Amino acid sequence: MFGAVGVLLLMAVSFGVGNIVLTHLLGPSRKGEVKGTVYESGMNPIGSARRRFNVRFYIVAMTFLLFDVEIVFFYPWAATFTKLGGPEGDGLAGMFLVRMLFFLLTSVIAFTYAWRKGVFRYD
Amino acid sequence: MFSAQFFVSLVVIGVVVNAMLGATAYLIFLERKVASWTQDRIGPNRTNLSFGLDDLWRKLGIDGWFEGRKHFGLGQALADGIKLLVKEDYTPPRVDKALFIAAPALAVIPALVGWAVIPWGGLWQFPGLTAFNWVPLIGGEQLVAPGLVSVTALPIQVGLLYILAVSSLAVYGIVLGAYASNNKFSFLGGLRATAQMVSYEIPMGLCVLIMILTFSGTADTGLMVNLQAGAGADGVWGIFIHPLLAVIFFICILAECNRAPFDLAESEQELVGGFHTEYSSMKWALFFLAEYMHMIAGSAFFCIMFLGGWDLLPFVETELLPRVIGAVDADGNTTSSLIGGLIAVLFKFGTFAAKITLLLFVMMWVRWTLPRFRFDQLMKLAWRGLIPMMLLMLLLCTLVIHFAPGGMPRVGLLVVNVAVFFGAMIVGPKLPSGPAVNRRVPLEGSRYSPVVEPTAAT
Repeated sequence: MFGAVGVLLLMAVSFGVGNIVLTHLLGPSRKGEVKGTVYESGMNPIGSARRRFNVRFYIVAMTFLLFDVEIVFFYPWAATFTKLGGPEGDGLAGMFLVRMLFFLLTSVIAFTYAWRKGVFRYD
Repeated sequence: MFSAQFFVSLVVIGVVVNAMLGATAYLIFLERKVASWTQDRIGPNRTNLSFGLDDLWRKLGIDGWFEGRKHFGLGQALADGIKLLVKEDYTPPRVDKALFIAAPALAVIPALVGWAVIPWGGLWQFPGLTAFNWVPLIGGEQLVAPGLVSVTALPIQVGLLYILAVSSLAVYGIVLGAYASNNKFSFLGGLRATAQMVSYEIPMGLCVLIMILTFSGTADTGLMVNLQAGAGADGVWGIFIHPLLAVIFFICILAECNRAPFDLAESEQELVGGFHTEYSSMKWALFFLAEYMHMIAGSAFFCIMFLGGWDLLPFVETELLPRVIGAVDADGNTTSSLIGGLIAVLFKFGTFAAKITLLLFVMMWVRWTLPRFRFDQLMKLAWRGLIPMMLLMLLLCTLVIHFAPGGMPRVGLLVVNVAVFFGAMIVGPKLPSGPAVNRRVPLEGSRYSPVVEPTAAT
């Protein structure tokens, strides 16, 4: 059943790799000292590109991890919650609801903390 | 002997991969045409391969109508492809070679695989295939067993999660390409792309979560479309239950595809070309092919959740044409006659493709209408606008679904959408922005601190 996706993956990989190989073979190739310099709008490059960058990007990545993991935890809950029968069910639905709301609350607290610390300020 | 599902999946893959590659080439052409219509010019019209249009116009007797632009420049996509293939494939000596060469492939592979779970044609009672009697060796044997199949490449129950997972792999191609280029413009573009794509993945994931909750806990793409395709009050498209979510999800798709007004990663006025500054020839083009394929997959994703997939009309009994010609039986399955079933499946496929095309046009329309966001506005929109709104939506929708009488929470959900929209309009501007984070260190020549005039030296 999943064999067909293997075929698709094979096609995708061969398309990607094949195009790179083909364009390498078909195109001309001329090298030169100046042509090899890093493009910096025609100026001589100043320093290296491997340099320190704004810590904000790092913080965004961390905050993303927090929320992404939270959402991943939500999916199995969403798949089962609607099948528990609501308030007329055997009480499981209410328990599931309260637990998940508590989980959501912890994330909201984290979000508010990050907001107060100025994580989401970009200026 | 193959199972029916395997055979149909193979056919779908064979057809859709080729359709996708062709469509991508012509989407770029369409993009240029839309741009020219928006800006009141003609656009590419000189590459006049007729593709048989000449004969068509002559047969219809209207070949005098298109004086000077008979073929609309339809050969442009072909010419572009050949041009890109035979351009110099230059690998600068200062780059990280392995990553630099691998990055375009890494960008295009997830894009080509990501659409696998899209249910193009619903369910089909496949009649099986038998070889003709005159074929040697296998004549008269059954090649494909009959069975109920889902017309999709990968019939799994977690289809929505599959699309989310595979499409978020796209960030690797961009980031690795940008980092390997060893160029400051590329590096900045890569950083921006990462921050943007991870930020908009959160509201997107929450959107999908709420839609899963709304459609009784299913993450199966085919089932989700079937739920929207029913008749009467059952067959309501997602967009009529969650209009606000649909808009937010569309914004997230634009941001995930790095499309304008969110094309910060390649903003040519600031970053030359962004992450692909050092790329040339087909390696450069692969990034764009990936972008357009992501647009197609994203639009299809939107159709599945909000526009009812292959469903032709909302609120009414579906599969009108297939039912009229008898290609659909009473259970809603397409019939077991091969031709009738094929017609029904192609009809659904066409409906789906039309919806996707419409969404793609809206994306292009948006691109050529709205100016680009500034980076801080972009991040603010995600972290201070969409994410709190989506968390609130999740909370309210969960409560509505739990406490709605008789399992009909749809009106309640609609009310939640409208309420959150107006609530955000009212509360949004009044939210505190948090403490300032940039301490403004007086720096000579900085735009924040005007140059202090040197005091008169003694």
